[in-house]
Amino acid sequence: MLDPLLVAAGALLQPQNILLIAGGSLMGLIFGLLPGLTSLAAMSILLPFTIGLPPISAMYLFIGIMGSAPFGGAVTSILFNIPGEPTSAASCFDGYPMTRRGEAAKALGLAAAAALFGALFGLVVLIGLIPMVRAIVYAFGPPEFFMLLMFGLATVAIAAPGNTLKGLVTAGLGILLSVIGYDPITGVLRFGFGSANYLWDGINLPAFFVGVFAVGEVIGYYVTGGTIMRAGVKMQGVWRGTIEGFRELFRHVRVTIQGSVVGSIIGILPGVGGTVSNFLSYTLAMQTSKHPETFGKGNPEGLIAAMTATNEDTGALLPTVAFGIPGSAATALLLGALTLHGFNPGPLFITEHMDIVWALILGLLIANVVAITVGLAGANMLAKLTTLDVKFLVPTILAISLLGAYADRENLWDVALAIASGVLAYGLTRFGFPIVTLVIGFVMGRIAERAFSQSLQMELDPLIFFKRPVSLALFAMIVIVFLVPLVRRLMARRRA
Amino acid sequence: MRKLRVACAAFAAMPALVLGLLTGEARAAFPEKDIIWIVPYAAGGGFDAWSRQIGAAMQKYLPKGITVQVRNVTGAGGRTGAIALYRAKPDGYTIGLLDVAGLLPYQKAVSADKAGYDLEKFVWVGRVATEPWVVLASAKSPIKTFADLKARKDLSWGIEGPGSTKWLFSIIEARGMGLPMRFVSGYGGTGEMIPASLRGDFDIWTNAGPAHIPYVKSGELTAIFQLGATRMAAFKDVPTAKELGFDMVGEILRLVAAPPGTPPDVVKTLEGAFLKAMNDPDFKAWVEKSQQEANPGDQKAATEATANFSRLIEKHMSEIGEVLRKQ
Repeated sequence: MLDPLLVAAGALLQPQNILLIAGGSLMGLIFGLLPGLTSLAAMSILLPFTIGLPPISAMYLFIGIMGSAPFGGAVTSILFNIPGEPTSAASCFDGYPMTRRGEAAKALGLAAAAALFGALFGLVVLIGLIPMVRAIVYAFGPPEFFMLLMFGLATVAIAAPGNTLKGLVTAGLGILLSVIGYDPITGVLRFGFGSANYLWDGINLPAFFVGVFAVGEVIGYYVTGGTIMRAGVKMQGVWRGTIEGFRELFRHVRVTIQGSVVGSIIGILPGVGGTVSNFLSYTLAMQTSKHPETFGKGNPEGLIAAMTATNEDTGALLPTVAFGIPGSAATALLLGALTLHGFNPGPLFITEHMDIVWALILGLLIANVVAITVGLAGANMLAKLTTLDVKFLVPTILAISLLGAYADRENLWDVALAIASGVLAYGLTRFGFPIVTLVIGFVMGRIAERAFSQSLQMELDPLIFFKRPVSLALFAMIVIVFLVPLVRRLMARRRA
Repeated sequence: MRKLRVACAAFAAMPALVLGLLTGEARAAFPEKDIIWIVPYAAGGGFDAWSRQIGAAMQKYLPKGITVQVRNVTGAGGRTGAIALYRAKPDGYTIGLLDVAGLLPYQKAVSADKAGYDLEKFVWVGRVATEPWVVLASAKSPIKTFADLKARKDLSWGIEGPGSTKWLFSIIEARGMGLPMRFVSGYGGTGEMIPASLRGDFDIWTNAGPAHIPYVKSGELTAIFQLGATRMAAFKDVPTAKELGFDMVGEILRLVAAPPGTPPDVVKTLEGAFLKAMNDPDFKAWVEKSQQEANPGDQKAATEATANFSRLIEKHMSEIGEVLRKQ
């Protein structure tokens, strides 16, 4: 166990590898920051260039990108309400209101601390849980997935407090939008609208997010004017804010651990990506909170839940190294890099190539440190932009965002999609329809449907959801979540 | 009159002559610039890894300074890249690695015109690998042998979705061997299907063999039978469909192609460098280390393999075509 660790640590001391990991982390931050451009894109771009490198160096480069992207993505979520990565979308909901209150430094510090905690937690899980990966993967089949997603979707009922009907409307709209495209169960194209092939793979998520968040928000800026930070609010000092943010994390131990667990587990499960994990963690925090109505208004718990769950890629490393099964898109690419370098990742990988595993673990640690030091310093400089008149921000953000929407697949229709969904999002917000539920519906709808169909195909028995222990337990949880507020209300009435 | 006719003939022959001289010159120099190698799938996949390793090895056997540049042209399940290669200038400076099993059924279903490429018109350079299809079950499942399959009245097959190659081969295997078949579908790829198979989402599934060597070796998956012409070295104890009494061969064909109309002597140069690359010690070391199985073949072998697969597809076209035309 220790020899490989020495090999990996020794490799880390070579200047070339230090440069690679630092370069990777910076690239992860930048690609994380830019909406539409994801860390995945950074990795695909760099993959061919690693062919001449020793495998361990290539791993340092990639893990650098993977480790720093979550924080990079959160920076724009918090400052401008525009997620840099799909996985940091849920950080908008509470991070952005904090910025508007003048607490940008605190929100950034909190996000950094939460991301770091999530990653460390993920690493402990990674090292400690290797023997249990299989048990977790086997316990979650399609019926369990379905119940898990239903649990997330059920939050819609409380995600728009006082506004449940409008919340349900946008959630339904989100689900409808998510099923567009070629249906993997029946092979039928749904809502193709005669497009030659643009809609075959469904609505492109990165472009859709750029639209709903960035374009929608920019229209809002343009219409209201002023500055992002509300007028008359004093901006908090960077140092005080950062330290306060770090402290805030320890005031919410339960949510912190809960989010880290959700991220790790979703990471381990193949087929459910990081976008789902941060929304699932967010909705879970909301459901278990005593004051769900404060979510979306700058509740630090919401930000913690969203950020800790970005450790999904750390969790995803586990099945990747333990049996060559990638738990996420980024780790799938990592696996491709391993193949390119002459490995055949499979069940024996971890015993034969422990040095690579250690390199990934060490690399992840360093990448997180780089992301937080460099990232926080840079982010606080960006934070000053929130005091700028939005007439300067609107064209800049619009240009960067639309470029990002284009760059993802180099498809001009994606730009049109981003603009159209931006207009839709602005319209919805203007008339009080919540965007949160739209996005939750969109992210969870399609995979929930897929899991439902798969469950039915498995045994040809509609009762399958209630015949498997884990699925049944999840169902019981949904019932409890719905009953608790009712019971509370009844108790309160009796007391009165 | 006669003079005129001769003059006409000479005049008509001129461009051909000039062209001949020009191309003669070009041929003598081929290759004089970098060669672009199209991969129809994203960086990080099997096709990409093969292409980059072969490309690097080929450079050693091409004139000094000529590099082989791999380009990922992705989209539409590999069809975008195939179309790009089909329409490229046939001068030998654009070649690519194609997945014949993935491309041919669609072409046959919708016609070459609509597909945008015609696999039978590509000029083949050589064969990289043939990966026999294998039928797999979880080791925990009671299904161990072909007889166990035959005894079943109901058999669920895991696939990604209608139109995928796993779907295609499931149909070919089940119909060709008289096995029951219903699908559990919607998986995102082999990476998702391995754990799905291990936890028992479906009874069996089929995929190209080499990716599963580690799992069969570690005793987590059982290989029930294989569809190669001969047994894979890693699966020596697993019978082939032929040995079970069925005249069928199913293999993933990774073939190197050049656009239709590429001049024969240019192809010859490429074929030479390609075959030497496949024998290169560094390349072979990579194949061994990554537990792949190469099956190098020349131009003739590649052309024949395409024709054979074409016949297999035509046999099952009525079932396959229905779904593919809908896409």
